[in-house]
Amino acid sequence: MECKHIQEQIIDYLDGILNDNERIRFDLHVNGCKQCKDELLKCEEIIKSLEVESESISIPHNFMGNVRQAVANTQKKKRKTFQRPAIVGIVAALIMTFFIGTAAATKGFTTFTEWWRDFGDKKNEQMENYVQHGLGDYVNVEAESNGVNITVTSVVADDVQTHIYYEIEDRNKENKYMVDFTNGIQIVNQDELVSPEIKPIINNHLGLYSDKSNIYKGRLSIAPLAASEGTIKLKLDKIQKAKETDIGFSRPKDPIEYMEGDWYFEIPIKKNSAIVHELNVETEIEGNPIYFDKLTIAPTITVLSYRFRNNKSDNRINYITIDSLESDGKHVYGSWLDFAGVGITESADNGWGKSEATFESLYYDNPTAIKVHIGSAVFIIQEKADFPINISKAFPQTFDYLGTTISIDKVEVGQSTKIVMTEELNAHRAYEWFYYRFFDKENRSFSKISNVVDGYYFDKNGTKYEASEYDYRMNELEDPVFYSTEHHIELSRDDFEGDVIPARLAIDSYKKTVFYDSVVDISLEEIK
Amino acid sequence: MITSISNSIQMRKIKKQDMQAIVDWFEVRQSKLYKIGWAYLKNHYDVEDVFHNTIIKVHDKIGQLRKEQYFETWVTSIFINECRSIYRKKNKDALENPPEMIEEKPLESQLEVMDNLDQLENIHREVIILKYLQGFSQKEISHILNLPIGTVKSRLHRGLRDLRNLIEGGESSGV
Repeated sequence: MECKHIQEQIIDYLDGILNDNERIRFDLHVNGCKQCKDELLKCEEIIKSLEVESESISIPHNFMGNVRQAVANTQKKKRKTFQRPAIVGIVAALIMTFFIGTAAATKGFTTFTEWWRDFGDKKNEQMENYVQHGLGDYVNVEAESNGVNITVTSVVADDVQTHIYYEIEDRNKENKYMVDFTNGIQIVNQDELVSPEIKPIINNHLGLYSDKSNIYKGRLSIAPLAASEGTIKLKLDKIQKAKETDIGFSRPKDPIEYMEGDWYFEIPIKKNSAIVHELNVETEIEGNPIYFDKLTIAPTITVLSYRFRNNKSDNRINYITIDSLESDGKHVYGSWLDFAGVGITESADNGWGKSEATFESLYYDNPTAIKVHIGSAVFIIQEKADFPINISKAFPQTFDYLGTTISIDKVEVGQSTKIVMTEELNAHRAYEWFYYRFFDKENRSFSKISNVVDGYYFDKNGTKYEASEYDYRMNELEDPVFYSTEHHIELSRDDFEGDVIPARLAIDSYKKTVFYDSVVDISLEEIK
Repeated sequence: MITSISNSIQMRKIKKQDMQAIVDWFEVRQSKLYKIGWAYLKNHYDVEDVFHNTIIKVHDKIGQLRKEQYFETWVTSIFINECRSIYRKKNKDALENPPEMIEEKPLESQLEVMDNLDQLENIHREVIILKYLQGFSQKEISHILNLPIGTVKSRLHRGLRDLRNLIEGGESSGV
């Protein structure tokens, strides 16, 4: 009966998702049928009431404050079983990528310290340049508390970010202290300075080299100011004890020690406008189109915004790496620590990945044309496989994944179970590393408390290098790709009592990098 | 572009289990989530508990999230599960201990329709809450509750119908 059908469509009709034909039929029927019209009006009324009533639900004062407190209490209790993020291996890989970007054929460094000192020198030089060009300022605002002296030395600000350079000196000459940008620091007047949707306001931190054992130098990265100038009122009530090479952008492995105090600064800031170029350039990789949308040239950084579509769902681009931008023969590279580098992929609708690759600044060059050097694309290819693990049988237990032998060498069952897994590495290896999880026999999955991954790099010529040896020497390798060979995994289930007993290794997909030597020419027109 | 850089950074921090970033994410959406919680539980201490439990779970299980674009629906599923479990606990207790007085509602707010939501069956109430209090699309709801869209639609239908019957029945008692 027509009425039944129409009434089933009421919800979609009110949602506005009927197609034109259906809607016309619906309207026609309802106009002539009292029963259905009644039904429609009543539904509309209820929905409207729900929507209106929901508006009147108000959140009690300081609701989030209470929630935060409760969460903090729980965190304190959990400190005893401190969990490490399960990405030790991946963080290492990211640091490598950073090295490739900056060192780039100019110098080789044999130690991390050497590289870091050089990096620090470059930043100092850069700041001098900013000041000379009127883009930055030496502000030198100081505050002292509990024997620790903090100085905000210089600032440079643009439309993308605000950088605040600081130094912390322990007058007692005992410790090195740094800022924890996620805790103990606050911009008192943030609502006046920064657009309300931008969160978090203090979004990154970088440690810089200092040769004195009681002085720490660092740089805070803050969201851009809404207006063209302003004063940042910065308050610190806690600082963190730093270790020798604490860069301060990833989670420390050991519990953090803080020192309390009271430091307050009023920092005058002048924002520099970025030069923005709307691009409309298309290229493609393996049949997947890539659109370059916008190039933002700011004093502190260059941002290239682009989009790519994963047309194929089983072989999708996870991200692309852009090696460098070239302007007039000069190359600029991604500086990951300037919160740049490997594209940060955010997804948009319909399977588009939106990304922003960042590079050293081209501000002084103000180019009229650039070349984008696409280095590689990383694909995540879905290839599922399940391997049973039987802890009552002997180890190692082996399986074959894509022609490679995977071996579970050891399983130590307990509250947090330890597993050692190795992968064969030979000429037939089809993947770089795979994404996997362990399940028990009731199909519950486990989280990884830690996963230390070892392996090898292969460079462009096919030469093999031990990953642990080349940690800080990645710049010596050409186009290195990491292949995992050994995993030391610790599993745990938090909401579950008793031993963690793995019964199955489930592999979901694997990673593959393909290198390209693709250069895209883009001519720039200035936008007013 | 600027917002997208901060969102990406926030997402990165969330994936690294940065608790502050996770709580900030909740804070931005507190109103949306609070309404769902309230519609289930009608008690702000309970809703506080749901927020707390959900935040802790999100922090601990972020490694299980495959695709960033599903973060919001994933978090909402967890949030709803927490609402359900606290709701169930409350109902068990209710038999032995009479429920506490809910905090004074302002005189003007007559949550007439919403009060009746309670009397719907759970499965119908949930979809109504998600759709009309929260504005999720039928497709998003199907992800959150892990149900086929057809089921979502028929439950919405039934829920609205039941609500209507309750209200029409109530009108005769002079509200």
